[in-house]
Amino acid sequence: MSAGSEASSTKGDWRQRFRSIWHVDFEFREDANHLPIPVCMYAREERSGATISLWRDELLRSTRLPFDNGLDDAMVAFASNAELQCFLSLGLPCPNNVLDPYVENIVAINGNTAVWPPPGEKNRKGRPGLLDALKLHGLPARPREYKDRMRDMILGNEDYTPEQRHEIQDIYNPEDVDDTITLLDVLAPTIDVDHALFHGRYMAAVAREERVGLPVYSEYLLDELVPMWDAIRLHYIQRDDELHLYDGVNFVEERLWDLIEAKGWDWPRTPTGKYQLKVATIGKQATRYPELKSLARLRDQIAELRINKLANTVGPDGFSRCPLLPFWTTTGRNQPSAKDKMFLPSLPKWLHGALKPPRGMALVELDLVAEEPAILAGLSGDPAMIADYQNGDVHWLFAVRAGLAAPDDAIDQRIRDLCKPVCHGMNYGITPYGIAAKTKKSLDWARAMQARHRHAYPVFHQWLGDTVVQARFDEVITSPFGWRQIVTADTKTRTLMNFMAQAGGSDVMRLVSIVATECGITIAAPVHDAFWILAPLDDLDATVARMTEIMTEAGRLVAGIPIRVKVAAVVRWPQCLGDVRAPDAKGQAMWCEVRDLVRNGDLQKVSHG
Amino acid sequence: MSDESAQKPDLKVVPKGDPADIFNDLAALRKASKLTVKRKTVLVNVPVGKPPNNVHFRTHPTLKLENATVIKEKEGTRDVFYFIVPEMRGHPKLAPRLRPVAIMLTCTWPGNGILLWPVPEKGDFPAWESEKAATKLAETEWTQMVWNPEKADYNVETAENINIEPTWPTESFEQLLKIGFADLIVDNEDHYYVRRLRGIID
Repeated sequence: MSAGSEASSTKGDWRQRFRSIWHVDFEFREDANHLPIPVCMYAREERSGATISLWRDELLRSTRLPFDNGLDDAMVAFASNAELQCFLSLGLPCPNNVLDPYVENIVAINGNTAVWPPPGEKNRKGRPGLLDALKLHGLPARPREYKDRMRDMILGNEDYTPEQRHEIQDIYNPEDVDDTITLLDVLAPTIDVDHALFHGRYMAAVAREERVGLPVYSEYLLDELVPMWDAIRLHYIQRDDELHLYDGVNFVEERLWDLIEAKGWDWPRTPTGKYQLKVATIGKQATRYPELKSLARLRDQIAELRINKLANTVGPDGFSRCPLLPFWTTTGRNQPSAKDKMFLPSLPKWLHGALKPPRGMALVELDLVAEEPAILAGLSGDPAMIADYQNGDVHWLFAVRAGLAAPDDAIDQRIRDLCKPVCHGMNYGITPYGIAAKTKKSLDWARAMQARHRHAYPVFHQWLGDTVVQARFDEVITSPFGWRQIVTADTKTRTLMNFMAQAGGSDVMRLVSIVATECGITIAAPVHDAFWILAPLDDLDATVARMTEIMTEAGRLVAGIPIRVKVAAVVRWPQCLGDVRAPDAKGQAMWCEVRDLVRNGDLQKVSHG
Repeated sequence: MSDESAQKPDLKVVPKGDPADIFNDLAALRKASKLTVKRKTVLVNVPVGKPPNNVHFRTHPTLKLENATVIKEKEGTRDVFYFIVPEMRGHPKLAPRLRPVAIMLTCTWPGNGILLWPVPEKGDFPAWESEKAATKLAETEWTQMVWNPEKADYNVETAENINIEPTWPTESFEQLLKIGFADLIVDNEDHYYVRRLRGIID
C-alpha cells in the first residue's frame, strides 16, 4: 500500500502528532468461553513501512506490546475491540492510543440514509464491516466469499498445515491491514482526532467488558432449565393458550388470522398485507383487546423465547458472553446481540434471576436514576426541571406543577403513572393521541397535560425547539461528547428531539465504562442506563462507592448536573439474583414458578434440540 | 487445547487512585452546546373574549384599557368584538350598539393562554357586576367564572392550589391590542363593518 502511505503524509494534519501509527490485525479463533485465541498478528507502521508478523507461539512469548506504545504512538485497528481482546488474552495491556476506522466510518455516515443501509438493502441491520466500508468509499474490496473461506479455515482448525499457515499469516492477515490503511486514508480528513481517540479508548473499555461477561447460575441454566425447556413451554402453552392458537408447541399463524377476522379487530399489517404477528405487536394490541393479554404474556415470557440462544453464550467458566456491538444505534449506544446469541439483560426479567457471581464475589447493579430527564434538565438549563430532578421524583413533581396533586401530598402511584408517559413523551414530541393512548385518558386531558408541561418547563421547550432548528440548519446534531448524526430531509423531527437524551445517555455510559475499567473496576455488562459490576466480597463497599462516584461524575460532565446513582441489586455468592430479588420485583414470581416446575419433577422431561 | 480451558476474568481489587484524575483529560472533550439559531415565538393571534368556563384566569393589574367601546356581534357560533375608536362613537349606525368596556389583559391556565377580555363597565345587570368583581379578584388569584342559569348570574370561584404565576407576554399592550383586534378596529366610515350596517354591497 505504498500509494496509501505516500498520500497519508499530506492528508489529515492530525497524523503529525503521532511518532508512529501502527495498523494492526489479529486472526483468531474462539474458545469454549467465547474468548479469542490469537492465531497470528500482523502490524505495519504507515510512514516507515516497518512490519511485524507474529504467529501464535511468538505472541505467547511476548511480554509487552510488539510495537511502539508511547503517548505519541497510535494503534489503528478495524473493529478494534477484537484486537484489544486478543491483547488482553495474551496478558498484554491495551495500547495508549487506539484509533478505529470502523467507528470513524460510522461517524462519517451516521444518519445518512442515502448511503447506509446500501440502496437495495434497506432492511440491512447493523453497521458497515470492512468490505462494506471500502465499497462505501469506492475502494476496491476483496470478494466476500474469499473472506468467508479464510475465516472458516481459521475457525475450523486448531492446528494448521504449513500451506494454511502461509496463506493465513503471509497473505490474508496483511491484506486486512492494507485495507485498513486505505480506508483510514479516505477517512483521515474528516476525523476529529481527539474524539476518535476517545472512541478508541471506549473500544478498549468494551474489550474489557466483553472479556468479563455476565456470571450466571450455569448449573441450573444449562443442566436443569435448558433440558426441560420444551416441557416448560408445553406446560405454559397448555395452561395459557386460551384462544387455542398453538398446535403442541407450534404457533399456528392462520388461527390468529381467523380470530382477527372473526372478531373484526383493527390490526396492523405488514407491507405485503399480512397481519403483523410480532410479540411487540400482540403486546400492543392486548391493551386494546384484553382477550389477548394471556397470549401476549405467553409469547413474550415463554413460548417464543429461544433459550438456546442464551445457552450458546455460556461457557464452562459460568460466564455469559455476548458481543456488545458498540456504536450500533444511531445515537451511539451499544446493541448487544449476535447470530444465535442473546444478551441476557435483553431477555424477560424472570430469566435475570439466573445472574450469579462467582465464588468470593458479589454482583452489583448500579442504575443512573432518571438519566434521560436529568440530561435534558441539565442541558436545557430549565430551572424548574433541574429543581424537580434534584428534589425527587420528576414525574410526581410534574404532577404537582400540573395541578394534579398538592405539594405536600404523599406520592399517589396512580397519578404518577399517568404523568410518566407525559413527561417521557414531551421529551420527543408525543402527540395528544399518543398520550391519550398511553394513559387511557381523554384527548382533552392529553392536550391539557401537554399545555401544562409546556407551561411548567418553558425554558426546556424553548431549548428543545432551538436544538431541532439548529440541527436542521447545520444538517448535523452532536451530543455533548461529540457523537454526531447527519441530518437529512428524511430525518424525523422526533428523532432530533430524542437525540440529546439518548446520545447524551450514551456519552455517560462511555465515560463510565472508560473510567471504571481503567480504574480496575470489573464491569460485567453495561445495560442501557445501568452497570452490572463484579467486586470481591471483602472489597464490596469500597468498589460500590468508587463506581457510584464515577457514575455521578460522568453524569455531571455530560448533563452539567450530577446524576443520582442507586444500587439496584446486590447478589453475593453463593446466591443468585432469583434468591435475593424482592417477591414483588418484576419477573420474580415467574422465576420462582419456573424453578418450582423444573425442580418438582412434575414436567415430563423432554430432550432438548 | 490448554488455552481453551475455563478462563476466569481479571478480577482486581480497586486501586486507590482518584477517578477524577482520569476524568480530567476526558472533560476537555465536552463540546459546549452551541445554539446559534435565534428562534423566537412570534405572537400572531390574540383572542378577544371572555375566558371559557373550564379554565382559570388571572388579569393583569395594570395592563388594561378603560373607557373603551366595542360592539359585540355573533358571527356563526363565535362572538366577534369590533373595537370602535372614540371618533366613530357618534356614528348613527354604531352609537346604539356600543358597549363601554375595560379591555383587560388576561392569562388562562392551563396552558398560559393570553386573551383580551372586554369587561362591561356599566353595572346594568348583576352578571356584569360579577364579571367586574371576577376581574378584580383575578388580579391576585386564579379565578373561574361559570354561568348559573338559575341565578342568571356567574358563579365566581378561585382555584384550589394552582401555585404558579402567569407568564405575561413581552409585547407592549398596544401591540397586543393591534394584534387582537387587527381588522376589527373601526376607525372610519369605509370600514367594511360600517358599510355592512349601512347596507352597502361591496
